[in-house]
Amino acid sequence: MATLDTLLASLANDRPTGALRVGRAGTVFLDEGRITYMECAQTPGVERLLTARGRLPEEALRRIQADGGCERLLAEGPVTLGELQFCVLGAVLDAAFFLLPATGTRPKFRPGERHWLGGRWYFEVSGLVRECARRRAQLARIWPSADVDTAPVRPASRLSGQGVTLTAVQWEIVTRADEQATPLDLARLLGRSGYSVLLAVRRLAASGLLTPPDPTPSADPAGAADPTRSPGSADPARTASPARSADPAAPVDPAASRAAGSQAAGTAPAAPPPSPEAGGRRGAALPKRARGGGRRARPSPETPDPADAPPQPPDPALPPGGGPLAAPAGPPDPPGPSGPHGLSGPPGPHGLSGPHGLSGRGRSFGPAVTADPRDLALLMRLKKALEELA
Amino acid sequence: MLGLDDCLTEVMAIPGALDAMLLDQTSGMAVAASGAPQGVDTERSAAALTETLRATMDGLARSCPGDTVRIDDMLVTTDRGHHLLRLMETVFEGPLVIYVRLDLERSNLALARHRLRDISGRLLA
Repeated sequence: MATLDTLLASLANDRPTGALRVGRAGTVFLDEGRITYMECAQTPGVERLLTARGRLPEEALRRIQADGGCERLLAEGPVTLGELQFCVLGAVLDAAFFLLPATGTRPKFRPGERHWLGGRWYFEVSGLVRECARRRAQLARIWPSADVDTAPVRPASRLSGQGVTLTAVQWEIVTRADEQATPLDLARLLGRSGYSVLLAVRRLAASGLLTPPDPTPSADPAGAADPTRSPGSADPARTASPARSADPAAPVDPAASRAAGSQAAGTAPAAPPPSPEAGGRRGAALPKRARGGGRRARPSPETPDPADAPPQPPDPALPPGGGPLAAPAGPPDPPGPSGPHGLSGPPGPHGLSGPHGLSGRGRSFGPAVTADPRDLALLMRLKKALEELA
Repeated sequence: MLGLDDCLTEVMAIPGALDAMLLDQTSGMAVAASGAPQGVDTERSAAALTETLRATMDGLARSCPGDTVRIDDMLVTTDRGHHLLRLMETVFEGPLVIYVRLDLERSNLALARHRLRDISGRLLA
């Protein structure tokens, strides 16, 4: 089965409008093939983020959702345009982080369905994929073990040093952690993005502020869906964590304690995850994508229905960043400046939603559709090849 | 009302501005960027700048115990230019940062700081 990002990229060609449901994991909203919003069951969406800090009562939000949508939300003024844009960008990236790697369920498309915020901002698939890969690499750089992402957060009961400095998110986590809640539970509770909580938890782990997880691997269902868990990083880390609490020397400095951890583990894999991921991603992206394309094209003679082909074993293991669409990552690309955020301005020529004050910019924002022309060219070639085979 | 991209346009209109970027401090992501100078990877410089801010916050938190540190803006002057960062608290996620690099000769720091304060006020107020 094609991964979600390839599916979204190919959908861009047919320019459908509607909602793509990915099992129970989440939904992607499309407007003429472009992503306008993504939500994921595991992460707080815009609604939760808006109401969590008391800026907007839930009842008022429901009224706005039912009638008026985005325009009314801005007109009534609990949030400004800039804030809402930042909020939507954060929520979509957060959902993409957990949704894009999801495999197994066959997405169902419901035409015509729209998100209540409407198609105000568009996201490029390649931009989302690239940012998610960067986020994954950043997590691995802070603390190589993905175990802490799914295990209940259990702050250490004693400091091994004399004092620590916590960030705001870390403070909220420490005060709410009840030894049961996992980082994503806490994210929903706090109204923080899932990723910011994962980051904070990994930093806590790197500073030796978490009780090491039990040696028995937990069989929670979330583990299966966890995108960051990889066979390589899980093991050495479990050996590293106990060493951490026994190491009183450097409780606060992440770099020092990480170094100590990997030494104690005595295995190389503890430290390296970031580098192969980061290094390999860019270099290998293009050929990988070509192969991925080939794989999608080939099954048609071998199996009756290419769409129902079983998932390719190597695919889930690949970080989605290494996936087919990471190819245009290079900074010298024309859409380069617009790259890092994956958010593009309103479509100049297509100009659907007229009356918003958002037109006529885009010095830094690339074209609205899955911008890379090579993407489209490749997809067209693929399509032609498939048609010839049939 | 200002959107994030209008905000960037206004920042670039500050006299002496060479390039500008909006950063998400929590994730280290470049939210929006004006054209970066030759040989600069926007993504990396965004990550590096947020690390700089984090280190500064940690350092200040340690040097003034008892205070809750809240940075409004940060200025670094090098032999080639000024680097100005302004932090804006948002309701949703940890601060949104405006970064602007200013020409050493052609810029007016006081004016630039004033304009940044004004822009951030309109973006989030």
